[in-house]
Amino acid sequence: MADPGRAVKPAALGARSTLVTMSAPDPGELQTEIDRLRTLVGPDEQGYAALRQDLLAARDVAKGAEASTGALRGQVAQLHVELARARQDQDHFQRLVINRAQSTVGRIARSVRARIF
Amino acid sequence: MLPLISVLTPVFDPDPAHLVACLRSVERQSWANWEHVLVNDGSTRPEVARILDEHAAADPRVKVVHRAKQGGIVAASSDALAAATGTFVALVDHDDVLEPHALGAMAAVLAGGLAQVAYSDHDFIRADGRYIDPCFKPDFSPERLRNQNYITHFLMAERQLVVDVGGFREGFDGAQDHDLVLRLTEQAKQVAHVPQILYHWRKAPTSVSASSDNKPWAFDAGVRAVASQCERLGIDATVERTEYDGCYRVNRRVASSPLVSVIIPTRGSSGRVWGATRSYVVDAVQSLATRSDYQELEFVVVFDDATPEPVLHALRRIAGDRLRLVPFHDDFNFSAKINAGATVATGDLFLVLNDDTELIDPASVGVMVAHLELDDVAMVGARLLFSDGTLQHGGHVYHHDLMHACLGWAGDSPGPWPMRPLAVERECSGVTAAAALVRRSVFEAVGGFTTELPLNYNDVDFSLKVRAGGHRIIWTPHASWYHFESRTRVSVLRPEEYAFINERWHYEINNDPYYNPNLQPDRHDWLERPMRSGAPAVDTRPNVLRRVMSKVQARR
Repeated sequence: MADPGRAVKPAALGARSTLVTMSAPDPGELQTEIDRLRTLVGPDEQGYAALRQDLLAARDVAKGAEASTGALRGQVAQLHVELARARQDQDHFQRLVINRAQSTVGRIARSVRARIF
Repeated sequence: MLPLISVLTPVFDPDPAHLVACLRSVERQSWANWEHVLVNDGSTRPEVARILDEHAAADPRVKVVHRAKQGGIVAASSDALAAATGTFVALVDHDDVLEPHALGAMAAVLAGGLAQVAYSDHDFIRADGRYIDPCFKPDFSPERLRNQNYITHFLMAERQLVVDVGGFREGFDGAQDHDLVLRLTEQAKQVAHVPQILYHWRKAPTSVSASSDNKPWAFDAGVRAVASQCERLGIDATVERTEYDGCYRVNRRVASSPLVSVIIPTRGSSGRVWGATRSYVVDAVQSLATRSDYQELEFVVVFDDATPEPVLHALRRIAGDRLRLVPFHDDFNFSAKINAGATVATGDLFLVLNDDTELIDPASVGVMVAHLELDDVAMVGARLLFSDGTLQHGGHVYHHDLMHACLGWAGDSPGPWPMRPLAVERECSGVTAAAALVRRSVFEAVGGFTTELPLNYNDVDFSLKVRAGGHRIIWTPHASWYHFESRTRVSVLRPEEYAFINERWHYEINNDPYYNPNLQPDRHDWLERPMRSGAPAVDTRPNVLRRVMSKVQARR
């Protein structure tokens, strides 16, 4: 239990603190709290730090995996440009050939028609 | 009277057929008043001298100078310049080919007297004679010219200016054209760009155009040419080759270290990146505070009311007394938040930064600051990558749409061949405000960000205001951040915002001087318009007729 009669000295001369008095901790209570925390942490008391390391390592792996996907995505983006180039040229070429063919056929047809009729 | 144009061609052992093609292409120019000055630089092939002499005998406009001994391309070019008498000089290599209207098109922009130097687009001639790899260039881009001789061919300039700047200089063999064009553009009143392919550069087996292995010393000469310009302009820098031949890196040293105010608007949100949860603004500030080589930084965080207290606490812990927290109580408005931050910032430079970023290259801020040491540069943008390393921002492109250059390309890609826009520092019409360094005085002069654009296009508008003030905007690949903007995010586009930008900047967003009108509209990847890729022209003549015509042409 707390002992309200015991005061804690200010930390340093001139240092301002809103905490003027504080009860002394009960050793038994502290031990209980330590036990409770140990139960939470488990057998490895470095658990939090280790978990943090694990998290960072996992993040790096995820980053690497994402970068590999990104490299492929980048290649796909570049290939799309090549594809677009080929398609538009093919389309333009076809239009030129078809137009030329249509006009030639039309000319022949007109000439044949003129001779027959 | 049409001004006389002197075409200068140093000649050394070309393939005779290619030399003849070159001579013919000059002879067939629609512009009649030209002279072709050819300097035979001690060619060892006897037929070369014969072809040149025959050509000179047949046409009085052809002047041939024979050098007894090979002196190299600089000596030969200097002899050609000395023999030239035209108002303008044009540079043509001995195996390259001009379009018939090349001289006319270039003279049209120079004869008015506004510009003293002009260049055109060009492409390459493959071994089978077909045209490939068109180089559709930007309008004059001095920073890019330092990083890459993007002008090369076809170059024409006032002869007197070429003489005044010292002509071709010894010691720059292989990059003598780069050295010359750097000096010319420093002195010219204006540099004009003719966005037409007027020049076909032959990929001869011994040419740099065929393989950079042919003349490795040319790129070392290029380094010297750029370093020489830096010295002339007072740019304190070292120059080095990069992994991409023909692209140089100018490492500037920062003379002073002005305070940079990093202005970050945030609402303190978190998200999952690389499988882990991150508090965006905290990690953005932490990456700068712990990784940046440049530490003259203050952090101005403009936060919404909804920002969690632990986020602010973490910021205080990381940035300490370099942190300035600015509460923002209104509805989200990116522009208003940046402007609010600017009123509190004390730095001479503002680094406008999104909160969902992470610094990659520690040198980034220093690289950007160094650019602002040139007075006419007001804003610098960086290379931004998505979390998967693909490119989010490579500079803005305003070509009938508002786009990020090469969005989604590999983050380390030099960009589309042959222009390699992502490998070089270059002028841009605009850069994203997700990571942009701007001079405070310019920020204030243009009135900051436009609050009528709360979500979109505020950086486009800001960039265009900066450029309208006569300033340059540079994008650099040597400053980089991750930007965790989702690749799949559908941005909330407000029609009224587009209407605003379209009304204010209609001409600018449809005519990007740092792109090219021959490129496809609505694309950001330098894809040319149809049939300008150098694909073979359609030849619908019957085979027999085609064969006869080829023979006739060969005999001529």
